[in-house]
Amino acid sequence: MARRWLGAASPFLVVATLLLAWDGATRFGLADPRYLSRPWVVAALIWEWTRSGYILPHVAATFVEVGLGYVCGTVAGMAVAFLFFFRPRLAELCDPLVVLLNAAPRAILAPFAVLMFGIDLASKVMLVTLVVFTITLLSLSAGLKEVDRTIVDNARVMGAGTSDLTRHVYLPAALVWVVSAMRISIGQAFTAAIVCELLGATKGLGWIVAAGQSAVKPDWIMAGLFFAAVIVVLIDVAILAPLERRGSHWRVF
Amino acid sequence: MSDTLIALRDVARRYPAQGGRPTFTAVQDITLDIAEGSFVAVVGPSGCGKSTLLNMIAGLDAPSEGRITVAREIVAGRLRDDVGYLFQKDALLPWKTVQANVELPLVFRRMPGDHGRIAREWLARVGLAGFEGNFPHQLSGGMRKRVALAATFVYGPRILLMDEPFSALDVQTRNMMENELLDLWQQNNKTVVFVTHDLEEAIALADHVVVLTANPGRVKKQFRVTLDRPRNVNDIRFDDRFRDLHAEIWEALREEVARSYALQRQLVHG
Repeated sequence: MARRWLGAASPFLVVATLLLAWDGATRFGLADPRYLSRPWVVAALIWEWTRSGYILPHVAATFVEVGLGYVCGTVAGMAVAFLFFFRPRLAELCDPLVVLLNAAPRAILAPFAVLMFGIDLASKVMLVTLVVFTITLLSLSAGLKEVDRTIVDNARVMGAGTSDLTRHVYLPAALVWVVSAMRISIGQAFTAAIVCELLGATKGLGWIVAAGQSAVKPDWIMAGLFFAAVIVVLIDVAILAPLERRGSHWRVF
Repeated sequence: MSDTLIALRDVARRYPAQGGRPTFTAVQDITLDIAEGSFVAVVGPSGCGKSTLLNMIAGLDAPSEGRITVAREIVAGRLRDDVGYLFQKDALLPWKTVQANVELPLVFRRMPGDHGRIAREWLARVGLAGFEGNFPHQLSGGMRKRVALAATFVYGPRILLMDEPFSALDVQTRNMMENELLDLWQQNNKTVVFVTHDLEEAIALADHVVVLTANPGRVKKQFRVTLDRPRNVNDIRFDDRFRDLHAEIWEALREEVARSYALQRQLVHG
């Protein structure tokens, strides 16, 4: 009985221990609170920002950048994955490009995006789109190749043409892969948007973090990161994970 | 004697050499006539190219040599619209309900009529009334096979190709499905090519049993099964004529099974 309670409570205990360690470290001179801040200071700031609504426009700005880029990237990734699937010669031709896109640390393109598209919405949406596009393309390309041969043959014998196959077989099968790609890419999408905001922005969570850095206010950085993390976790828990669970029995192997 | 519907003439299927592997011949020198309305079983050891044969008749695959005709039209890697194919593996769409799965061939073929009603009728005929709204993963293996059977019969194909369709089922379910298949076949006058490695199943169901050799698959011998119809696959196994036939065909098959086993051992042990 006691063991079960301990099991359920242990994740919270870990967090509490870490917070205590953080507090202790700043209290007993192991870390400088001027650079690391203190848990209670950060908590107070988070509460203050939430209460006054100060954080709202910043959360909204980042959210809009990620949302737009996320939709564009997913749709473009799906379109290109299908194009490559039905035109394997084209896929072969573009393969080095895709490998490069996947292997290169995409955040490096952030300065480029800001230079080309300015410090407003466009640069962030571009970078998020690129990140989500790459993940969707790779995940879906692999997924389409795994669609069961027998199911495809069976549909063809039953009279399905290419458009029937796409609509009734490949697209539903692809959805499972698209959702799992969305789960992988949500965190990276926020990273891309925030990195872009760090480099040049007038609002957004990245701007908060950047402002905290230049004014040496570590509590601002911590609170900004807190909001970003909470949003990503909320989206995953509330939307993406249930979506993936719902589609899991579709998985065709 | 009725007319030949499916004719194979000196058919071979070779797969080109690839990555250090030599050319692989799945089947060769296959000459076979299948009469309209007959039930033909093809037996042979595993790996003798039985499935390749069905794929070529269906038009999913094309012969490297020789010629296949169905109703005097050459089949060469082009799908015909009067063929139904029941696969060994499950081939239902997991994201569609039972009802939608059975309607699908009607949609693909842009067939006229009330698809919903036609599909429901066939589901009732295979004993699945009331399961229309279920998804395939909610059904047992036997029930999924019935759905596949309904989805094949629903568009009225003239030819039914079956690739060990019941091999994954338990014995009781399997015998039930075999009896139902015989009923459906007799009511609907189909031509059936049934591939199996199970000799008892072949004799219990078919008019003709074709024995293939171990790889590469050739026609070793053909047998006529003269047991009366309608048959019950549960009872027919105890018929004396069934036992005699079984002994006779097994005589031909045994050698090939042994050869196939030796071949596989060679592959494993180099």
